[in-house]
Amino acid sequence: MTGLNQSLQVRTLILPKAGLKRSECEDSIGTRSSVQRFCVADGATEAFDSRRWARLLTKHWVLSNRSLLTREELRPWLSALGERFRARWAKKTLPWYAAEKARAGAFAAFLGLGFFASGDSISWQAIAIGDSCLIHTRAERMRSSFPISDPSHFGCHPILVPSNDARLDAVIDQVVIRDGRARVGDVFLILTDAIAAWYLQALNTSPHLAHEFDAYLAAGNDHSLETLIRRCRNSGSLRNDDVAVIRIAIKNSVRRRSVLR
Amino acid sequence: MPYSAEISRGNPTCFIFLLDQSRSMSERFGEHAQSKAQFVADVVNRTLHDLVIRSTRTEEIRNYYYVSVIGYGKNVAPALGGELAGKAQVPISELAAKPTRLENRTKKVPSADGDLVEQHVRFPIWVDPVFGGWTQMCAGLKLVRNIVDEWLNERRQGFPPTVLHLTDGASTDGDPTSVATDILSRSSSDGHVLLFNCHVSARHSVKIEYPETEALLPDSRARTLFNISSLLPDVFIRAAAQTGLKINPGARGFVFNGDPVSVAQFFEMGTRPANLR
Repeated sequence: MTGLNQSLQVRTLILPKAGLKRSECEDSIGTRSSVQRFCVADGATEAFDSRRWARLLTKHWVLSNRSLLTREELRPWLSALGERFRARWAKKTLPWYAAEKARAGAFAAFLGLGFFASGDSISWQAIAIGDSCLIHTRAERMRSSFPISDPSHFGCHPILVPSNDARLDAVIDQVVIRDGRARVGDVFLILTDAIAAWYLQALNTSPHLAHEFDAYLAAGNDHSLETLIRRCRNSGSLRNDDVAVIRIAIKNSVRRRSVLR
Repeated sequence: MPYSAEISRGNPTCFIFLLDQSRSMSERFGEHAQSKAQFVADVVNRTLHDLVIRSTRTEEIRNYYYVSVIGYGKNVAPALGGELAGKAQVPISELAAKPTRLENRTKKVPSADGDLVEQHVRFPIWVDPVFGGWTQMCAGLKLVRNIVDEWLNERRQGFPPTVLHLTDGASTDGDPTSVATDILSRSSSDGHVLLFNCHVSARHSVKIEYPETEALLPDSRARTLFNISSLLPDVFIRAAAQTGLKINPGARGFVFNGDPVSVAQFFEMGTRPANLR
């Protein structure tokens, strides 16, 4: 008897921009296989303390007891998380420039994915704000890419999750939700914007590179992955940005109903 | 592709502000009660403020930029005040740490229920309005050339220096073409040094912004400034478009008879290369 959590093979990769330290990476990953919840957040470089905001989003989204896969659930949760983010700085005396930046708050792109089992079938639901992407692949062919499928559509000032409550209402209407069904053998990639743009472009123009990337990822071969990414950054095909990737492969059938939230 | 280098702490870029501080800068500017010198000082302080904010990462300032502010009028000299007086160039972190003073100002920001509310902020001042003497444009440009040469001696790689020159008149110490052409001939691995010129006028004259040709320019003074202005690279044209300023390909970084709006847009556009790492 296999539960859904045991039928998912999960691999992750996180890399900072070339020339920066890992501690400066503003992308963040959250995975919790036991409840089949996975997410990435991409902190906006020019905003205030976006690395911490991205980490708060991913850590608490996977830990939440609620699904947080609807706008109605997401709004109050983000508001409370923003309050927590601001509380850290509220008591500190900051220099003028940090105080000004803190007032504007942090911003991050976010994508969360949950799997659900019912009998022998598996369904999924995803929620996205911004330009992080979910790519669903079956039999080595892309079935869908969400919320962006055209590599030329990246870099157009995406809507981002603000830590500042005053900006939240304008954003919550732009949340994109998608669901679908999955089969054994399907692969889901969650990618932040630069690597998503590269991967979608590679599928069109250099599919061998996309397959190489996926094979290294599936094998957990981080060294070869990093070499490939370095090569693509040097050639200019991959923008020098932080990289966060989660690969979820559906390995086995689900033979009994899983306990789902 | 030129003008595409990443701007990072390892490969910073520099901005040089060259400001006319001659006697005529005391005239009132447009509809404003302020003098030209006051208005320009305010815009330059705002621009420096924005560069600092762009370089702020939580409580740290990353030295993506080095900044020079040079004035010409009674003297030809660095124009930063306070602890930075006399310094020809400073990293952005030092600029952030040492404004001449912090003024208390208010600004309007949206509240949670969508209304605009006033918020008290501290606004840094580095440059005060100064005017007097002649329009020693050539001497000012020579000082800029020295700063550019020193910069490029140490940093051949990376985004080249950008010079933002503001004047309200004609040079009184000769034709600036030669020294400006010298500056424009310098380059880093990423492209030639950029020299953008903004001429301002207190009269209600027709302004000409970012022209592609000199055909509409009214006199030789305007044509001289046009000819010593760089072609605007695409990265600046795209950045300008994001602020609502439409500039055609092939345009020069040049404004003639600019009004207060032109001056604010000129400094905004000229400091927007955004490929920060």
